[in-house]
Amino acid sequence: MSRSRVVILGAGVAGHTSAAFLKKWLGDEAEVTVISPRPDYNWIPSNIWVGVGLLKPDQVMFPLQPIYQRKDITFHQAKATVLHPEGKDGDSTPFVEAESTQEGSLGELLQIPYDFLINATGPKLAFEATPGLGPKGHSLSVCTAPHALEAATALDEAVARMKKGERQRFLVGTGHGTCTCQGAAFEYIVNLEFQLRARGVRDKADITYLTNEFELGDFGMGGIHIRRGGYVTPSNIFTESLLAERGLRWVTQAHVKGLEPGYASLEFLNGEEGEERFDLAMLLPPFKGVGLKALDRQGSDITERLFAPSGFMKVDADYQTKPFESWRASDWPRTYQSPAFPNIFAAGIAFAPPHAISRPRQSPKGTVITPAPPRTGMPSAMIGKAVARSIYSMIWGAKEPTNTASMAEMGAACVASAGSNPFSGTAASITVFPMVPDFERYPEFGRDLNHTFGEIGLAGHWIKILLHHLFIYKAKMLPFWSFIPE
Amino acid sequence: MTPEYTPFDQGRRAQGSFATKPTDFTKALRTNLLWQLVRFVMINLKMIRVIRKSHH
Repeated sequence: MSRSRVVILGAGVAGHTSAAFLKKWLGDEAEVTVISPRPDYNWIPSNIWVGVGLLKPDQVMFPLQPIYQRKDITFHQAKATVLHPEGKDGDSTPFVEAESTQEGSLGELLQIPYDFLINATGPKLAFEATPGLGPKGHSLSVCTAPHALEAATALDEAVARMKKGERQRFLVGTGHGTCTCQGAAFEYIVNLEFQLRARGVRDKADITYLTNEFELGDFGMGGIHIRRGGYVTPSNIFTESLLAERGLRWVTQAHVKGLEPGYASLEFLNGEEGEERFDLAMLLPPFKGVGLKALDRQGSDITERLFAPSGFMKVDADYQTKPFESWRASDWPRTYQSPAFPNIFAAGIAFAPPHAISRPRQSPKGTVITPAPPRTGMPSAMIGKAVARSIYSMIWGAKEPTNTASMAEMGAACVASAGSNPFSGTAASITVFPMVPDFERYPEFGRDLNHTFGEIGLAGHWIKILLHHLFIYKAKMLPFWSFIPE
Repeated sequence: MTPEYTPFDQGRRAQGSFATKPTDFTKALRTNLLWQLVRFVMINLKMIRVIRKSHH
């Protein structure tokens, strides 16, 4: 058998997991290549703690090159731009075109051939969707470690002003009607409040949670139900309780139309308009695909064959447009194989979901105000591993992907920090099964209540710390890394 | 939606006044070391169950 070439675009949770397992299973039988525009791995769930000044960026990031070198994985610090799945001109070998982002060779074009390709680029942070949104505009973000560091610096400055007696307004949440990752915004706001208390300035802060969710606790998953105190209780009750207990105000069903310095203009689901004023705003951007293009052998654009209009890659999902009532768990992809090219897969945030999970809603003006479906660390890693296993099998002769990881058949375990301290900190520990509700299997609530659970307490914080260290250990591919579950 | 009343009003008119709030006992349990050690084990077991059920 000739040495197979597997190219992976992206070195986030999904891409890195795929690369690590492919190399472990295939050894010298395959050449595994990772292309990522950034030189570091970032354990994104811990960015929240960087954003409130508890961790430094180098505690949530590490350079990829030494690890890949140790494991004999080829690494190119470059941004993939064009896929050539049919090759070019007379040569039918598929390849990826990428542009170096490394100092010294910046902008240099690379052409990397592949037998199998995994698109795990993650999202483009689409700050431009809302005028004035983002670190280059008038708000902060915790989506990357450098962004989180900027947020921490701004927080320090706000605390200094409060210590001088000034009152400060904090606005935290989603910066567009179609945002996802409400969980991250929620973690940030409760950690922010905890920090302000720890720094003795809580009484000088007015803190508002701004969200595109129809109700608190939706989190882009249509909310969850858990058994507690003799009732099956929806997540909006617990989420509202967490905010109310901390004296935090909330604004729901909101799309941010634009930001000016200290001012956010809003449109609500009922068509009304409003505004929020702030001294510090941490607002998440919506996600889009990274804008990869695809060309056929003659050089004609075939991007639409591979990608949805959002820029995410089409896989084995049911993309037929249908009303909310007709959505099914079976709409969600299982193998993540491209229907256009069987040797291309997408993993993690890079695949195009068939539709949202939350009920779609829009304002009378037609503005969509609906959370996009979340794809957090655990499903991203599980998808990355399943795709890697399918490619492994196909290299050894399987005609079709052998492994599946549907978000409608897998659960998610999530720990959302609500304050970091080994004795007084807390975190919400949540498990959901399945991640995408399946109303055919679980008619009333869409989920298995024996495996869907939530609890807040210090134990959750200890688990969060444990997971931080375990997953960074695993990502560094140190001894016995593969025994740590996804 | 934005509440009609002044956002940072206190007392009965405040936004969170209808929210479920934890009792002092519940809050104390959240950071009680012995109880949380028990919960640490239980939550880990619950998570492992979900992880095992999710792997195909």
